[in-house]
Amino acid sequence: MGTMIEFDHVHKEFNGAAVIPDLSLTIPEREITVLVGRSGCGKTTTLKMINALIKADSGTIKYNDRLVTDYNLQELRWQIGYVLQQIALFPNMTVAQNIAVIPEMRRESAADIERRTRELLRSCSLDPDTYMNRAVDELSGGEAQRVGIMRALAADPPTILMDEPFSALDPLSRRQLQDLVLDLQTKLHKTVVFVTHDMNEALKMGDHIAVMDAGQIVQVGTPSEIRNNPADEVVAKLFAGTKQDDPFARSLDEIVADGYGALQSSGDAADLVPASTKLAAVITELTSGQTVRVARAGQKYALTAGDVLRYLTTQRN
Amino acid sequence: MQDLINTFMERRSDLVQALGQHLEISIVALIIAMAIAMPLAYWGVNHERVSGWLLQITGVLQTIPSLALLGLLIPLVGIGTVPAIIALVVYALLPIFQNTYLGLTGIDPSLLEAADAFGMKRWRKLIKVQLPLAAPTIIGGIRTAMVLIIGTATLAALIGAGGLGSFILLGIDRNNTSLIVIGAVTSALLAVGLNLIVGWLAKHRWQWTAALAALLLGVGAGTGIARIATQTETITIAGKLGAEPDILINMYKELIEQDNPRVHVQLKPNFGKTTFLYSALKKGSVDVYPEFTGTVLETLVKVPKAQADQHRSAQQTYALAKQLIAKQSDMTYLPPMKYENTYALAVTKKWAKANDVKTISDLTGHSGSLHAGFSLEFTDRPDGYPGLKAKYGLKLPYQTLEPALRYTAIRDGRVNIVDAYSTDSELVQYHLQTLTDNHHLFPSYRGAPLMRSKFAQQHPGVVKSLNKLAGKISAADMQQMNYDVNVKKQSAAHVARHYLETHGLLKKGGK
Repeated sequence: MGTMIEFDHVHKEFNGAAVIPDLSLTIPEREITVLVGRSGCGKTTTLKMINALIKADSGTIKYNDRLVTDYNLQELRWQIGYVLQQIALFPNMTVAQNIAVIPEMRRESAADIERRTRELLRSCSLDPDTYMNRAVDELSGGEAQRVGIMRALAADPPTILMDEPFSALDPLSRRQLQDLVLDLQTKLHKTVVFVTHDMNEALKMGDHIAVMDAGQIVQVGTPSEIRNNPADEVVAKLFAGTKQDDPFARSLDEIVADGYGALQSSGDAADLVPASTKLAAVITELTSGQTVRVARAGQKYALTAGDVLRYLTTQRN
Repeated sequence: MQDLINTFMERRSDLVQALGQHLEISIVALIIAMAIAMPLAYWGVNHERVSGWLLQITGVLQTIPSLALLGLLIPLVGIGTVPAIIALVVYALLPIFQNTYLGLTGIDPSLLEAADAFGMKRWRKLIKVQLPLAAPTIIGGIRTAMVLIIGTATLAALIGAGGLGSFILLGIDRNNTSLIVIGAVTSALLAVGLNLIVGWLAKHRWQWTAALAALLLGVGAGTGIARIATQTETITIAGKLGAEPDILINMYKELIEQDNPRVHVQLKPNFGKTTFLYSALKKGSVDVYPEFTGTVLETLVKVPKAQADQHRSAQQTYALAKQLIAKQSDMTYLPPMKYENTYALAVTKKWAKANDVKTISDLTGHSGSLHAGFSLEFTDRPDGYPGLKAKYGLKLPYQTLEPALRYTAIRDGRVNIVDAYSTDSELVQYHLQTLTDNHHLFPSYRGAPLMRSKFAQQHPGVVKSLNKLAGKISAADMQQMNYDVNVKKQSAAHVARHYLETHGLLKKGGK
C-alpha cells in the first residue's frame, strides 16, 4: 500500500495563532482517509493544504512523492478533485456545464465530455436526458451534491478531497450520498480525504480515521481500532456519543438520524414511541410485521423491519 | 402642435445629425467609463482600503454640478467633444465602479474557492465565473450610467460638442418652444430606448452586449484614426450663437476648402458668447472666428485713455482694433466685410417714402408725429437714445419694449419708429428701412475673421481665402440671408454657398 500524500512537520498560523502547530501524517493511496474532529480543530485547513488552497508556513507536503510547492498549480489541482460543504455548483451553468468545467479546461473533445457526463449521471442514478441541461437552482440538495461529486470525478483524478460534503444535507440524502460514495469507491479506488465533524460518519466512511484536536493528530487507525482502543481521553470522549458496539442497544434516534424510516406528515399521536427508545425494545413489534412510529425532533417517522435490516447491514465492520 | 410638427419636418436632417453626435459622445463616454471603472473595481476587490477611497472619490466627482465641471475643463482641455466626453466619463464612473465592485464582492466565496480548486486561472475565473455572476449588478450600473450620460450630454452643446442639447439651446435662444421640446423629448426617448436595448441584451445575451460594446469601440477608434490619417490638417472655425455667425463661418469653410484642398474645416456653430469664444481662440481649440470691430474695442482690448472717447469712423475703428489686439494679445484681425451690425433706427418703408426720410437728421421735422418703441438697453446707453438727443437734438415720446416685441409693435402700428440691429432679419420680414446715421452716433460694428498671429503666419492660404470677403456683403444682403435662415428656415450652409456662388466667389457646383 503506497503513500499518496505526506505531511511532514507542517506548521500553519492565521493572524499569529498557530492553527496547525506541528502536523505529520501520511495518507495511503486508493483508500478513504477521514479527518475527524470538532469544528476549529484544523481539519479543513489540513485538507486545503493538499491542493494548495492554503499554503503551509513551514514543513513539507508531498503529493505523489513530489512537493506540492514544486507542482505547477493547475497540474496539481487537476489531479485532485474537490467537493465542498457549500456544494458550490456554478449557478450560471447547467448541470452538464458544471460537470465539464475541468475537462473543458483540459481541452477534451465535446463528444468525450458528453459521453463521460452521461456515464457519471447514470452511475449516480440521475437520468442524463432529464438532468444534463437542468439549471442548478432546480436541483434538490442531494441532487446538487451528486453533481458536485461528478464534477470532482469528471476528469478522473486519482485523488478526491471532500470537505464536510454532506453536513448541509438532510439525514436521508446524507445517508444516500454516503452509500453512493462507498459504492463508487468499490469500483474506482480513489485516494479520498474526507473531512467531517460527525463521528458516526467518520466510522462509516473511513478505511482509516485520523482524529484531530487543536491542530494535532491524536490518533490514526481503522474505525474499530479507534472505537475499541481510543488513544486517550480526548478520543474516547469524542466517540463516546457514537453508536454502541451492540447495535440493538442503540436508540431509534440514531437509526432515524442515519436516514432510515419514512417521514410522515399526518397520523395520530396515539402509538408514537419516543426516539430514545432502544432498538431492542421494539424488535417484537417489528418481527411481527408492525410499523413502529417514532417521534423525533417534532417529526413523526414510520420505521419498518426492512429499514432496520438495511441499517444493520451498514453497521457491519 | 402644428408648429411642433412643422419644426420637426424642417429640422429632420439636423435632428438626425444631432442625434448621431449625441449617440457618439454618449457611447464613447460610456465605453471609456467602463474601460476605466470596471478594471479598477476588479482590482479594488483585492484592495479593500483603496476601493473604499475610490468609491468616495467617484462619489465626490459626481456631486460636482455638470455645468461647473464643463467650465472647469475648458482651461485644461479647451472646448468641443473632448471636454464633453471627459465630463460625461467622470459622471459615469461612480455607478459603474460601484456596481462592478458590489457585483464582484457579492459572489459567494465558496464559488471562488471552487474555481481555484479546479485549477481555473485568473482570466478563466473572471470570464467563466466572476463576470457572469456579477453581470446583472454590473449591467444595472451601466444602465444607470447610460441614462445619466444621455441626460447630461445635452449640456455638451454649451461647449460646442453638438448633440441634442444644441436643439434645446437654439430653442432657448430663439424663444422657440418646439425646438426645446424636440430636443428634450428626443434625448429622453434615446435614454429610454437604449436602456431597453441594453436591458434586453443583458437578459438574453450579456456576451452579445460585451461584443457590441467592443465592436462600437473598434469602429469608433477606426474612424477616428481614418479621419486623422486622410486629412493633412483640420482647422476649427467657430461662431457665436445665431444665424448670422453661422452663415459667415459656412462661407469661411467654403472659401478655405475651395482654395486649400488639403485642409479640412471643422465648424462649431452656436458656440457661445464672446468671452467664451475668445478664450477658446487664445487656447487654440478654435482657430478662427468672426468678431465685430466694435466688440474688439469694447471687450477684448484695453483702449488707451487718450483714444477712449474719440469718435471713430468704421475704418478708424477697424484700424485701432487691429492694432491693439495685435499688440496686446498677438492676434491677427483680417479686414472686415462691408455691412455694419450696429444699432440703427428703423421705420416702415411706407412711412419713409411718404415722408421722404432717409437719414436720422431728416426725422427732426417729423418729431411731432413720431412715437417710438425702444429696447430698455437702447434707452440707457450713451450711444443710444441719450446720444440721439445730444447729437441730433431729437426728442421722441417712447415706450420701452422687449426686443422681440418692438417689431410686432411697429407692424401693428402701435409705434412708428424702433431701434434695431442693422442686420436683423425682421427688418426684411416686416418691410422696415433703417435710417442713415449721418452724424455717426452709433459706433462701428463690422465683422472680420479673428485668429492668432501665429496661425495666420502658418496659414497664408487660409488668410488669402478669408480676405476674399473683405468689403463684401452689404447690410441688405446680410438681412436677406438672416431672413432666409431664420424665417424661411433654409440651412446656413445653403445660404452661404448661394451668396458666394452668385457673387462669383465660389465656383458653381463645386463640391
